[in-house]
Amino acid sequence: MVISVKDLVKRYGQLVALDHLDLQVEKGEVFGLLGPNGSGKTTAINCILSLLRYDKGTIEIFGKSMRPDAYDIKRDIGIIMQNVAVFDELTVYENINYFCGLYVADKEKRRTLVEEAIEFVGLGDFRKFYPKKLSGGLLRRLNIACGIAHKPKLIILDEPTVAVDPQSRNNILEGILRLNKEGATIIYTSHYMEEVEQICSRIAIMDKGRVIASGTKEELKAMIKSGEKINVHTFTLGQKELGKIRELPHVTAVEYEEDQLTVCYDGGRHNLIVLLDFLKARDISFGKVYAQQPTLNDVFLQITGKQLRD
Amino acid sequence: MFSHTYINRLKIMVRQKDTMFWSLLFPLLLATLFYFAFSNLTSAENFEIVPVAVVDDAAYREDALLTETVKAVSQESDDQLFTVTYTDEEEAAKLLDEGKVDGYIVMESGQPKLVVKQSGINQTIAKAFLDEYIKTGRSMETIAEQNPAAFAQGLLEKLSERNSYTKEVPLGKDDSDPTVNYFYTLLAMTCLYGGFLGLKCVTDTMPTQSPQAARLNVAPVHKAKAFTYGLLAALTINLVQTLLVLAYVTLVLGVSFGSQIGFVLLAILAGCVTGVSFGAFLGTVIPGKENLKVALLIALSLLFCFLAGMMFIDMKYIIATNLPLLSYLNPATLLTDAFYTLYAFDNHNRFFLNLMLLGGMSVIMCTASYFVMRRQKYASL
Repeated sequence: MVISVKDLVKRYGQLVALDHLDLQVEKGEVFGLLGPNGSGKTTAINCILSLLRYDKGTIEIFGKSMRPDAYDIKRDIGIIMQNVAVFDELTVYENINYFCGLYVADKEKRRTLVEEAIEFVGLGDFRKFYPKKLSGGLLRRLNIACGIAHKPKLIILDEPTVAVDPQSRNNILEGILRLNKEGATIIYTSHYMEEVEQICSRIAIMDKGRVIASGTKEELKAMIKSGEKINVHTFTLGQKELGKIRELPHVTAVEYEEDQLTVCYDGGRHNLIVLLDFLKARDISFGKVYAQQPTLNDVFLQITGKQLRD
Repeated sequence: MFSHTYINRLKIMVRQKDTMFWSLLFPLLLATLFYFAFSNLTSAENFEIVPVAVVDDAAYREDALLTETVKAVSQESDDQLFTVTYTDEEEAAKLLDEGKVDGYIVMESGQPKLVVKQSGINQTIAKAFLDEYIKTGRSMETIAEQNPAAFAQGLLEKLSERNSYTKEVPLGKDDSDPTVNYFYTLLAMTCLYGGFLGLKCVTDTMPTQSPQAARLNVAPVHKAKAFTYGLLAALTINLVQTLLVLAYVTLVLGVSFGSQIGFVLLAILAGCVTGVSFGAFLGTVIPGKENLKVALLIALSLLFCFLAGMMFIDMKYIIATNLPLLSYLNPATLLTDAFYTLYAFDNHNRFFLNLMLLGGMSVIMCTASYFVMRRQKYASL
């Protein structure tokens, strides 16, 4: 176990920011912490890092109790903050070198690590640039390089793609997966469910300071009743055919409006084939067909009754 | 760890343009402004040789005593009173009209007369000279009539002798110039503006105040050590800045800081320590954003300097007379006074008292900053 958080409580006056939070992160995982803004993700991260005092609970990292002076634990942690944490007065190279130097004293070793970090985030052409001269995406990449240059075993990324263009976002997400392949355990917090789905091997969904569901994305989607949704554009459906479709396996709901057939399922692996076979067998012509898998937003919606981005 | 943090902190602070403006450029600009403002003030007090014309006619040449006296006071020496142009009356009047001389001496009815066009210091000096000459001349005439034997007893020497019954005793090793106090408060301000650097150290160390500090706090680095190394870098920069201002003020502008350079440097070191500690103290103790603290730092520093006499020289004495405790609590006053005691006094007691008070303040502010920082629980970021 890389991180073990038990019964963590953090209050801001009357507001309970973390409500008996439990989290376990295994070695080698890309662990996603998903939740809307204000759900307690950043507070949880700050408590885990001993940046924030908490009221109750225990936090262990690498099997040891985490404290502000637990330097042996901190040595193996890399953090990429939500806010870009670099110095405007230092160049790209100097920033990475400075933060890496807080972990690695040996100059020669550090030089290699800094070069590797610059290479990793693709800032080779910008090493002498000051942060103010970098675009938003490049600045985020520098922020990441500053957090990972010392090759930590545990990397915590707190909303690293906020206000980043799609190209840089893909670059960052690919980079995170590469870091994971190189052996780092990743904790990734975001309110972008697509990102979390894309890169995380396990996900905890947070709301109001609590983990309301956790597991792989498949496990999470399996928790809810709503499953696959198939849409078919067709002109000639009568009530009789609609009745027959309702009787197909795993169908939970059928709607037909403005030549658009929508069929909802609660499971099943070959629903699309079965439905198309049904239409063909009755010579019902159809046009555009597409299937939608349930999203984490559906999971969140079903559990909390609200959208992830509310 | 020390060299890594120290060198990078130096780079960060030296490249901060706004901080460098306030802590270096602003004092240099202000020093230049003071120089031009006060150079006119001091020139009024400087003695200048008075240009006069003498109507060199027969009557003048007949008065041997006057001729010799004028000759004596116009000879090139440290005591030279006049530069004399010998000419006729018409030319003398012309020179006076053109402003080339401040007055001319002409013999009229056997008595020397001064002709001037306007009143002023130089005209007053020339008038005083002539009055004194006439008075002494008359005394000699009267004595010669009533007791000529007195001359044989050395009266002539005694008459021309001038005794002063008061003695000017310098308190220090240098002549006193009250305007130097303005430059001393300026140097005190430069030291106190080291507070910007101390404040920056706090901002970059306390995770409640910046994301950079949060990143520092998750690193395996002892926070108090990182903070101390940062303060040492801040002190180095402040020291160099203040020495640059001192060099500019003394070598370029020619302001005297006395001859005890070792003690001046000691005072500057104490001032810089106080300035950096002051910034660190404000940064830790005052809640709120950095901009608010910067504004407070500027306002307080200027207030301290105002009370030390930066804008109005008598303010320092008004405060010392009416609110003496405030003088002992104002770091700008203590520092200004330390410089002044070196300039004006031989005795170092007051100098060391000022430095001890500054040292005490620094210790209190640093200790308070450390405990506030250490005890901070980070209830919220």
